[in-house]
Amino acid sequence: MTAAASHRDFLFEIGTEELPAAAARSAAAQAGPLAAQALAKHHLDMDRDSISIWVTPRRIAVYINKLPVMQQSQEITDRGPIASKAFDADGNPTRAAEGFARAKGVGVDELEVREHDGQQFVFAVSRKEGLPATAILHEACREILLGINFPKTMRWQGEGMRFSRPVRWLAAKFGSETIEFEIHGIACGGVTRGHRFLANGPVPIESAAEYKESLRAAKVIVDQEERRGAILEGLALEAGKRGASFIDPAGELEEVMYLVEFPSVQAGEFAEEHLRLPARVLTTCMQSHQRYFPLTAEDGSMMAGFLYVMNGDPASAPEITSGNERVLEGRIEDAEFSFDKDLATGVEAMRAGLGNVVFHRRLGSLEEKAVRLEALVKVFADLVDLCGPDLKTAMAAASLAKADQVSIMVQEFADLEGYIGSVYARLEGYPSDVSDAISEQYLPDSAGGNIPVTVPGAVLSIVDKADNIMAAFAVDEVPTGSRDPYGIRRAAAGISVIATRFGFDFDLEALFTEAHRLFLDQKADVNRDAAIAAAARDFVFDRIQNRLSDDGMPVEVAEAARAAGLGSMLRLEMLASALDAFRSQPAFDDLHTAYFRCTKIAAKAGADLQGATVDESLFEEETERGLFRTVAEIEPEVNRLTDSRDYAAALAAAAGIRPVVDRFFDDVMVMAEDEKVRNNRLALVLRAAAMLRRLGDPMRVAAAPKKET
Amino acid sequence: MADFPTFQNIVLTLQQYWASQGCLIMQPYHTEVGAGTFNPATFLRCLDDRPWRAAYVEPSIRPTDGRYGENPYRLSHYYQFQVILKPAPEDVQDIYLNSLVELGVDLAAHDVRFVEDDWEGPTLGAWGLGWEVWIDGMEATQFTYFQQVGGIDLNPVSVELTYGLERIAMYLQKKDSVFDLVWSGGVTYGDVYQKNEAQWSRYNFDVADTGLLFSHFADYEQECERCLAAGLPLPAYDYVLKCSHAFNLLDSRGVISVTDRTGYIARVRNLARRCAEMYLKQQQPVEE
Repeated sequence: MTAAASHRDFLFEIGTEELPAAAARSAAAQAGPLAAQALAKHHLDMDRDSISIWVTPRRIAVYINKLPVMQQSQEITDRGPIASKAFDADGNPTRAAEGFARAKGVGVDELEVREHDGQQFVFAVSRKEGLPATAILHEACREILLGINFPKTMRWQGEGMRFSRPVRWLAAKFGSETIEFEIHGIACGGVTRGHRFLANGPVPIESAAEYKESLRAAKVIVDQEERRGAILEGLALEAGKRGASFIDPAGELEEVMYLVEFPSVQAGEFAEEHLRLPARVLTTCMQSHQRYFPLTAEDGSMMAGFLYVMNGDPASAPEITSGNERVLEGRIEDAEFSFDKDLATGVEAMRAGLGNVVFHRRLGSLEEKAVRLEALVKVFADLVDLCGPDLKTAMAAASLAKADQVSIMVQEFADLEGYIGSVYARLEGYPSDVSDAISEQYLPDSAGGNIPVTVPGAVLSIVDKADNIMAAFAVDEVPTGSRDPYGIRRAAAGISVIATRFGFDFDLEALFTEAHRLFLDQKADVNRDAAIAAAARDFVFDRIQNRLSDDGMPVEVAEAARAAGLGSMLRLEMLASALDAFRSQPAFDDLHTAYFRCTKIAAKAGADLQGATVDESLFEEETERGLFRTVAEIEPEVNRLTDSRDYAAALAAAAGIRPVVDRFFDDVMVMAEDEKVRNNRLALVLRAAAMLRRLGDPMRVAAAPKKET
Repeated sequence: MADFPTFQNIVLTLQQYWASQGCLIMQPYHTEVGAGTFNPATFLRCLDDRPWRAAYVEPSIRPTDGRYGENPYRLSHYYQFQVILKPAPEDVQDIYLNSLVELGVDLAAHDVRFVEDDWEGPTLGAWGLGWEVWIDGMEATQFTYFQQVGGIDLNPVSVELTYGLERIAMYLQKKDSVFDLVWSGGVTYGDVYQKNEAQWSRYNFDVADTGLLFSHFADYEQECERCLAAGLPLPAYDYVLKCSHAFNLLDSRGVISVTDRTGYIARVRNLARRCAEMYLKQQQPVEE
């Protein structure tokens, strides 16, 4: 036997019935910090980097490379009476000191005097020798197990514990020593289990360090990153063999790696004749539910094959593949059945059937929605001066946009809405720009997702979203908290991204006002208050503000830009960006100082100067006239620059007012005795401030954290 | 002789197996249900704390799922094999997997998986967590740990296993159409049911008298109330099932809007909850 080591490896495994992929991923993220926290709490020091977390569908494992065998010893201090009360003038302990020492179980001569908050107190100090780790590790294990949270949990044994899925075994090893304990009737020992089918049965863990390899021998690749790597390698290899690429538009790899313990990539085929189906239909059949990876040829076209990740014995691959092929064949044939039925129905008939589909109980059917969309396209075209073929295309697309909502395909695969409608329109001979716009109407379909590329598609997408947002306000179902049943937060974010990317510069409230009017025209049972258009606009502006702040702009800068009171999303965003760039330039200080001096004195005066105008005849000083003239000179320049959306130049021009403002405050006594003169001077500085504020609130900008240089 | 089990042998094998696991082998319920869960042998029996194990075939009546007998994968009337185990045994996954072995599935030579599937039955106020069990990519069974039924938190927790008999048979018999399944001897599933599918689809989608069904729904609802008022949760629950079926038919006739839907479901759920509460109350020993 060698000298007792100071450290050993530690392993704790939570054995479960099959976890959902999202739960496994979440546990993988939580277990490391939980382990670090639990071990630190129990004074078992280790490096955060020495923790590995391995998660499969059936286990969550915490592995620590080198954990001390002994707890750190701790000094335990208890504060007693203030020193002057604990000892008399001769330095002898008082009854207070004796009583304290007795209560803490230490001799009165062992009391120590220490400083606390600038005063001397007596302290009872004792040392707690560290316990062996083996005596406390079960506590750490318990804290890790019970500390893992899932959004959705279940019970499986009466009132017992809750977890994502039932916990069926626990294993813990410290070096080669088994840590035995029990939680909610589940015993923790030194035995794990192998692959459910390929190495079923108990697998003893000889030591923590051997855990990973013991499981490998039992057909379990415990490290998720190793599985991901193996899967990716297998996908590339199998695709390469076929001169193909694999695609994963739904991001199934992240799911699949948590659905298997012993992955191998296999290839299957489906009947060539199905290639007549639209690519996304085939992709959906393969990816949704089945989580297969479609194959595409060099030119991007679909191939009649797929890859999948198997959890079974590679020796049985042919049989397993033929089972998977039969399932896929069934799904594709089913989709084909729906597709052909829809084609037989035709887009026009679908469009005619929209009256039977309720859009919202208080807002009528999809037929009414389609009518509103066409009207809104016209409204929008006027707002942004859109005409010609783009307008014509957008109108045609708006009319057909919702037809696919009554298709069997959309009932079966909701994700295909828009896309399948565009396919049907194209197959029926509608112009391709019309079908493209139809397919783009729901973009972006995720935060940061693709946006329309065609102008008619962008227009249709904006008016559809505007109608949805207005609908939520009109029926008083605005999102609260995490509840957003109509997804209008995403719609609002989408609208602004599209407007910015396409340079649509228009008054958003005007669009909402028209959208609201359409509901009223259709005699819908809605909130008639005209103010909801402005509320809807503010809702969208809030999303813009959030997006800018997500992209790293301080929230104060976005708020400052909103204070400018702009009506256009494009302008709001451009001004915010300009302010963000401008605030680190020296000229920003000029703008800020000028604004600050003007507003501060007005606030101090507390005068109600609403609507006050500046009367030149009341000027007494040359500097007063100077400021007045400068404002009159700069203002048209600032206006010209903002009109052309050159906010950077507008800010620079506005900041130019600083020397004149400074001189004004140096020379002029604003708070003059004469009320008329005083109010005239206040009106003058407020006019200067108002001009500056049209470029946002400099005070909010200044409140933003400084940029790191 | 084909080397695969006939449709009826699959049923017989499952019955045999679950009988050996201590299940009462019961028979389908006498009124239309959308799933075996609706059968009182599951819905009501899992509410109290007394052990209960039962297994039965249940015809699942889903009017909207019909495709006139033209689609080889879709049926408006199909069979579930339902198992309910209370309390959920600790080794319930293994017990279930052995039933697949009994059906001739060599577990080591296939890819059997438990894939997350959270089940919710809004008309029954019921939900649970569990999986779809896949065999080589095919969904063979719904496996659910019931958490709540009739709005009541369950203790102990029951496990519900629902085998899709046609799918399993198609897998075991390697058939591409449900109508080609061998029921027994020279008789196929299509011989027995293809005409039914055609006629029922016509009825469900095109013919059913919606006025009659609306008034049936209201009548059944009222009768359920009367039964509850008379302290009879068992008859009351039958009327919940009848309401639910009337609703399903109206739904397949396309006369229920998306928002009305929520209202109808809530009405059925409310009745189901009250039946569950009364049933449970009557299970408690009467205090002397």
